[in-house]
Amino acid sequence: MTALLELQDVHAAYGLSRVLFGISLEVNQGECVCLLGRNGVGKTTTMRTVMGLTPPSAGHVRFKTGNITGWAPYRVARAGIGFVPEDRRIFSELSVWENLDVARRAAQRPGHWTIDSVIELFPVLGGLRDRQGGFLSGGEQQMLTIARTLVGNPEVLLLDEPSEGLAPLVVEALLAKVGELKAQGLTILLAEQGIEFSLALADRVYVLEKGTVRYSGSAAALKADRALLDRLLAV
Amino acid sequence: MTDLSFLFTQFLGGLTTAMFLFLIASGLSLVFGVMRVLNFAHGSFYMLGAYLAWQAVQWLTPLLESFWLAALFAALVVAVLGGLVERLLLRHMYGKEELYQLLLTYALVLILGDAAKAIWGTQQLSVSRPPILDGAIEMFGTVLPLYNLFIMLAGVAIAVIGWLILARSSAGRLVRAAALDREMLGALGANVGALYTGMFMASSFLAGLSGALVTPIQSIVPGMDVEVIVEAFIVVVIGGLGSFWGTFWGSLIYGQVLSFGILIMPSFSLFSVFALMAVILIVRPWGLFGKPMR
Repeated sequence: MTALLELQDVHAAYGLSRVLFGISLEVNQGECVCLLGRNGVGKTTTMRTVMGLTPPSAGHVRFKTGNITGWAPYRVARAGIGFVPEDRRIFSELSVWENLDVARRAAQRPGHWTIDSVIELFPVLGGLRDRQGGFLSGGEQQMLTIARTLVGNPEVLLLDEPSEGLAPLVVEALLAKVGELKAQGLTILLAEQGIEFSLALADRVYVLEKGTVRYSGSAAALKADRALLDRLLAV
Repeated sequence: MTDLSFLFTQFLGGLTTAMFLFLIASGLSLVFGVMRVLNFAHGSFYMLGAYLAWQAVQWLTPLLESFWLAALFAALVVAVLGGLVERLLLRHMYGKEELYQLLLTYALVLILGDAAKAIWGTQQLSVSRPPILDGAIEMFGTVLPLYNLFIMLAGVAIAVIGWLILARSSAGRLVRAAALDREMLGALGANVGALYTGMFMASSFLAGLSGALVTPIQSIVPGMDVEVIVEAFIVVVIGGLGSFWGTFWGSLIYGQVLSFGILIMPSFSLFSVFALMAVILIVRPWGLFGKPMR
């Protein structure tokens, strides 16, 4: 079985500062794969190289057996890769509904997810339809970012640190929602610093360190081996 | 009573100037608001619109006399030219220092100005009013040429249509999203490059159309490009760069201040608007309706 999304020896840099040194990983259909690692190890950059926001300086990105390395971000999105950025980046002066409508029209990928069905998934957004994005709470913004990406009906969801900066109760609610998406068969690549969120969802884990893959294996194995976890993620 | 009707005449004159400037400045403001490009060549597109309209009238005259067809032709040609400028030149300046954009668009001012002189010479050209708008109406003892009335209505129409498109249409939502976060919009699947080209073409179309529409009331001369870009800049600075309604109110204020400022200081006609701009820049550097830069 070939992977749905595959990175082969991807290198990337911002100007002169190199961030990724040969990342290889794969995400299979229906899997939830987690990139674990502390701040600044290259999780966000890995996702940006997939989206074409930071094109790789070397290596390849494959999606559904096609080479998408160096594609413009909008082509990557229209091919079926959805990106939920870490800093959320809601269109702050557009209403909740307008944020969703813009995303739907941008992606041009009709399917199961519509504005109505994402509001069914996140009912709280239904009551905020006309509220400006900038006036939402952190948790509401996070739900809107995920909903906004979903209306593009992606085949793979890149979810960058969804729990960051949210209160524990909100994180729990979010975890349940992402779990629902996974149960529906959506393929997810998740980046996280915290192990609670990631190990609860992930099938497989890649631990990144200084722009390389330090460890890869099943989430269950990592969960069972406390000593290994401590060694990999020790501050 | 004569006094009142005189003031009303000045008011209408100011209103005509205002709506005219709005037609020009709206495109300038739109491009800045969304693309963060300050397009000095906007006035040159306006000038080309005027010359092209004159040219089209000359070509059409033996067959049919249609000022409107000529104006449409001029606006469309300028829109295509704007599209080419964005695609071939401006595109390479995004994400670089703003100085490069300024230099590029200023270079276009020089090139297009000289090109116009080379093609159409330096003599004054003029276009006659379309016959249907040749008359005048009387309002409260003031004679208002129909053509001026048409310009006012056109300004209001563009304001309303422009606002409806921006606020209510899906294209307008995409444009506003692009202004807020271009990269994110691209990552959601929108072809922002094409959106920018379209925006720039729309802005150029408005510039070309205004240039064509000015020909029945102003003669076409070299230098009209620079004159109008200065006025348009004052308008958008007063209203707030990038703010749609700011540009509208900026135009209205500019028109009235100019119109009544002449009464107070006849020999310094532009002084009053420059003074107004200076005061606004000191009190609210981001303009009446603008927002402080992030």
